[in-house]
Amino acid sequence: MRCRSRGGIMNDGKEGGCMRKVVLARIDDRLIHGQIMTAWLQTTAATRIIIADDKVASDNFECRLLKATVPADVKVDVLKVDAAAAELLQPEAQGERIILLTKCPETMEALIEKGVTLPEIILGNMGIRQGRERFNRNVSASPEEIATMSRIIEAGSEIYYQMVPKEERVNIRKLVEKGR
Amino acid sequence: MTLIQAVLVALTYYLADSPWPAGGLGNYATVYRPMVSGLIVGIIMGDVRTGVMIGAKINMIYIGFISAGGAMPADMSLAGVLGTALAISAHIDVDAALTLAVPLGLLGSLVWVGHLTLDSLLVPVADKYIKEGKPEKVWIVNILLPQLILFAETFIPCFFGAYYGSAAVGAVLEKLSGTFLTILATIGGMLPAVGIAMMLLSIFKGKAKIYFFLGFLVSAFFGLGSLPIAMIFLCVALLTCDFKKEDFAAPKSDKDDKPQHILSKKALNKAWWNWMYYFQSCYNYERMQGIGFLHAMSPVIEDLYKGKPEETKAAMQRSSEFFNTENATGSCVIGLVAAMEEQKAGGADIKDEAFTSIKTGLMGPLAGIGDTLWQTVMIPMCILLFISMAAEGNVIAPILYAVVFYALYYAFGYWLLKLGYEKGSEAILTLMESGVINKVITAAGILGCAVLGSLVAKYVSLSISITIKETADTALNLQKDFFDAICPGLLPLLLTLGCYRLLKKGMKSYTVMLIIIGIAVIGVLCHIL
Repeated sequence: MRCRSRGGIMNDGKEGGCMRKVVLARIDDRLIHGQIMTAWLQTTAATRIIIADDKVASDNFECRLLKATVPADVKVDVLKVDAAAAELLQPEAQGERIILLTKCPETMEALIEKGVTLPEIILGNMGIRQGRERFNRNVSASPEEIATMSRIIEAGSEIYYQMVPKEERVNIRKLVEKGR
Repeated sequence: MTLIQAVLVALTYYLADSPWPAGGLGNYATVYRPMVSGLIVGIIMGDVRTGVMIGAKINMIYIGFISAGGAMPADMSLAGVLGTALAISAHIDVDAALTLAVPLGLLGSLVWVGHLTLDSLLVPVADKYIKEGKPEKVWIVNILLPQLILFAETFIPCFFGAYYGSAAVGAVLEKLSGTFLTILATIGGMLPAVGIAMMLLSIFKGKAKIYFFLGFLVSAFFGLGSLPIAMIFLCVALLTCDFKKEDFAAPKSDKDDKPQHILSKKALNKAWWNWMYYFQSCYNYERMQGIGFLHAMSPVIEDLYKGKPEETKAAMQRSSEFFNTENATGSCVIGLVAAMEEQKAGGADIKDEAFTSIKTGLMGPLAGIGDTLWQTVMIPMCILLFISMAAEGNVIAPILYAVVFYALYYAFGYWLLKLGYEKGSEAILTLMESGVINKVITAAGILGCAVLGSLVAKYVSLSISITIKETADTALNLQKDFFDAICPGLLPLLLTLGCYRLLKKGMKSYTVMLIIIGIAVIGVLCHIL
């Protein structure tokens, strides 16, 4: 099956797909923390976590810290955005299930532009800081970030707000329209 | 229920969710847990034994519930406090009381969302104190105001629920037939399976799986409770996980020479106490624990920057940023940041960005390790040790649990405070990389699986009441002559594993509970169960 987005073959979810199998793509500026460790890792049965972030990937301390957080049976890779996209576009590996984490919507968009297909993106946590306003509960976002999320949705992905799997997920389409 | 009793019950609910010493303090682990609140509600209602028994059973449903990073799918404290109070006042039996508690837990999560939303309104007040440079006033915004909000939010609904609810529940039950009560009790007997399955979700893996069945078999055939099972399997876990002496050696310091301490010991300890008590007192969606962190750092700031208003303001500003982690494990950040403030006050050129980046870098991973360690294994483990004593009506059991938990939690937190303060970030990383915490988690997982297995054998009840006529005089009792003959507790085991499979497939726990309710209703009405 040919890919809808440019640059790659679509992952049709079956064995032997043409992209790595991503079981959860999540925007979360705390990256690996309690919700990932106590909930998402269990429900997704993930075997690998890929963190895409240029800054974190070049910070040795943070890389080591993130790797030390997760038990040995889950592999953690902290990659620059280009490297993460290249890795995700490799053919699916048998039995591998990936959680993809980025700190902000911009990185998700960059991955999508490089050909990574992500039909569903979960919005987890984005903390308040200079330039950001409260967006929804514990998510704050700047006008640029809201615009990015809107472009991601227009490009064919759905974004859902959901802290943990036990909660109902909320499609943020309306919130994004309101926020623009 | 008398007016006074309703007031006291409502106060207990506030206490459970508050940061005061006996309440939520220590990661919502004492009065917040139904096993402990059952004791207090039992005393209020004049029937301590029943209170403890009901509290322990309600606690089983919530044994695997985790609230990580501000997400709260169900509020076990309302289920525990109000569920126990209503059950005692309406003289409902223990199993039926569980059915009553579950919807209360759902309602309670609304209180939590309200709390985080309303506390966001207080952030500007904190910013005002920062602008004025008044660390001594931070307690007003971190304790006084949010606790007034929380009090109104918890006390009022719980009071009305207790005072008017007890009469309503009593009146409804009086009118209902025996069949309805049988259904309630059947549901209540099956519900602990969901709680146990939820906890299995995080620990039932790898080699630990076999210990679940071992614990189940030992309990099913010999009738042992959770404490003896835990003691036996603690030995097994220690053997399996191969702990070494070096695992517990303190990590090396990354600082060559001992720094001169200009921060008073008293201020550091005060900071840690503020953190352990009030880290989440003003929990809000905007900054999460940011105001709690500011409050924790206030004694340090006062001590280091006395008489320097500009430095005070700057330090308060950088302490109040967005922060969110697990609090015992997060103690090391308090130590680390206190040491950085100390160096800065002593003349070192440390930029604000350095504070931000160390805090944001550490908070996620520390929460990941800390929530796993405390919420998924240690707190439930400590409860599991004493839960079968409590379920039999032993009133000392909840107190024993609280003592064991406090000792472990505070020792761990203080050790990490010192590690962060004296040895720095490299030592924290070394500790995490050493894998000792993951070893403890694995060992506790083995122990947890064994005890959960024993709980299935003792406290999940499901039996079939079908008899098949053999001859005119004899009949085959399917439960007694077939299931019990193979292994007592076989059906509860299958039920629990069934719940586990559904949860594992991604079904929500409340959906699983609804299925159980459906099975119970149909089963009782058709005379199968």
